[in-house]
Amino acid sequence: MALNKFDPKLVRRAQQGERNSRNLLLGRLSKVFESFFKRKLGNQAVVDDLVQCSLLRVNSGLEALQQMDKFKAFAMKAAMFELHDYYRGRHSPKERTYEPQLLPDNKDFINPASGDAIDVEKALAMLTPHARRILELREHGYKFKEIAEMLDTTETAAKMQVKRAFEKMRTIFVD
Amino acid sequence: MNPHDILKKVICDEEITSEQKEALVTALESDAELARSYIGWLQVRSNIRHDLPPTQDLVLYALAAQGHADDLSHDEASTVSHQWKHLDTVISSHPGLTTVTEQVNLDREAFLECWEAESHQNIFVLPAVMYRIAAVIAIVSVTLFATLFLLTQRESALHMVVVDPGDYQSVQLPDSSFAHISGPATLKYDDEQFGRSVELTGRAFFDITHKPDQFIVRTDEAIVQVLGTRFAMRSMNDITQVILESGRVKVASNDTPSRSVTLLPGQMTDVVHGSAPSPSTAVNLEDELRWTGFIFLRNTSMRKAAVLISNSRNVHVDVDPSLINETVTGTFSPQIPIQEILDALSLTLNASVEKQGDMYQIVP
Repeated sequence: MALNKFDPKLVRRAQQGERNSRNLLLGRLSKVFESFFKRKLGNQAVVDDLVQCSLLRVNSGLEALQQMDKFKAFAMKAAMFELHDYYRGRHSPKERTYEPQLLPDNKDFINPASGDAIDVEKALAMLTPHARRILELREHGYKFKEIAEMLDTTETAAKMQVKRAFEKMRTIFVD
Repeated sequence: MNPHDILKKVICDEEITSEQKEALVTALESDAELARSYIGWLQVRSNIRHDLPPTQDLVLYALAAQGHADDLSHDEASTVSHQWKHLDTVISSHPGLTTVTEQVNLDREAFLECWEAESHQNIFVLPAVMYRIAAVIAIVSVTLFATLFLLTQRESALHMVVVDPGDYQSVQLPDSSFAHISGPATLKYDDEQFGRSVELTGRAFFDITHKPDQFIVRTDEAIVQVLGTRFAMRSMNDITQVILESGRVKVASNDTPSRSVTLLPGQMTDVVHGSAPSPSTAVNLEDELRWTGFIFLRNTSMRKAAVLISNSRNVHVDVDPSLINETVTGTFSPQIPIQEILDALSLTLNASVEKQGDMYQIVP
């Protein structure tokens, strides 16, 4: 015999502002989110942040939900948006949550003689599809280890692709 | 290692030593080719990032493109439909983004597995063919049933209060204590087996009913133990701050529970993740606790009290010049009407309150 913890009636009562139902619903949902984010990321502090952000997203969007039987998809999207926002934020200059030792983003410290225009499009055109895929995944926010798992290769092999791509593009950069 | 090799380590997010970093920065200042390589690399990254669609569009496109359009709401489906051609062009011309859309759908499957695992509570029903089985098994079965029943009941007693950014919610806990929560925040506790213990993320002001058992508030960084008191906690960005208004609290770090700090009224401490609490320091409650929505007056001049009350309640309170240097003490929660606050203060000053439109005047 099974009890549906996300019964549409409970979702409806929560949506109508019944505080106990809303708290119960969010309490149950927090376990799903925690289980999902732990599986994806592992780091407990990050998991806690993402669980909270996802719950806030659900809490603030619940009133607009029109079909109670779509609550599962609604919650799934909340988790997905938060997860991919987190990925993007990892490498963003504003919120650098991953890169530990990178050089300053402003290029003031670099030799002024190096400031001539660089043909970026030409450099990008030199990339193999595989290298380009890795660089795009890196910019979306994945770590090399995660990229390697996605592409069924090793972290070392993925980095080697990037280093080779860099070597190729250097001929354009210094031209 | 030469600077060129160090740069290749950097672009692959590999650790470099501080000496290597220094050597690289020096080389970038003097070696124009190396500098151009690095600038070119940053520009390539920037160019790629510029092409990435917003995450929400990417996720919705990925779901729809992989046959899960039913997951989208009417509005989302409409938005994606309008952008479909553009998104399709961008994503199909970027091999990495194609991989991201595949990954979104793998993530979806992972989420649904977590959902299924958590969303149904299975209750075992014993088959009816056990007539000849010894009474021992019956007892075991009954015990199993009872345990599962209790577990089901316990789960339903877990409460989570989620408060949106900018919102405020006052929660009465099972022991009659109050948590006044300022969003964004979450407060978790067990409604039935309360045990005077809660978990907090975000900001809250606690008004704890005095009882023989201690009351415990946990955050990611700290644990606060009290008997009966009023204090504020703010847990965010790996730091928990505790400010005590009255009574006494003991604050310890989760990582080093043996190193605790005891606060007296008007004192605060910070607990940074992984560190012991900082030594207690005196703070001005009137200012430091303004975010709670409470009005704290501690031997406060009526001149300042009028400003604090006016700002807190968005009214104008004027005080007769003969009373502005009188001092008052009191704590007023956000639920107390402005008229009650001013009446209480006037009573202690042997004064009276006159109201003219939105303006209140305290006169002798």
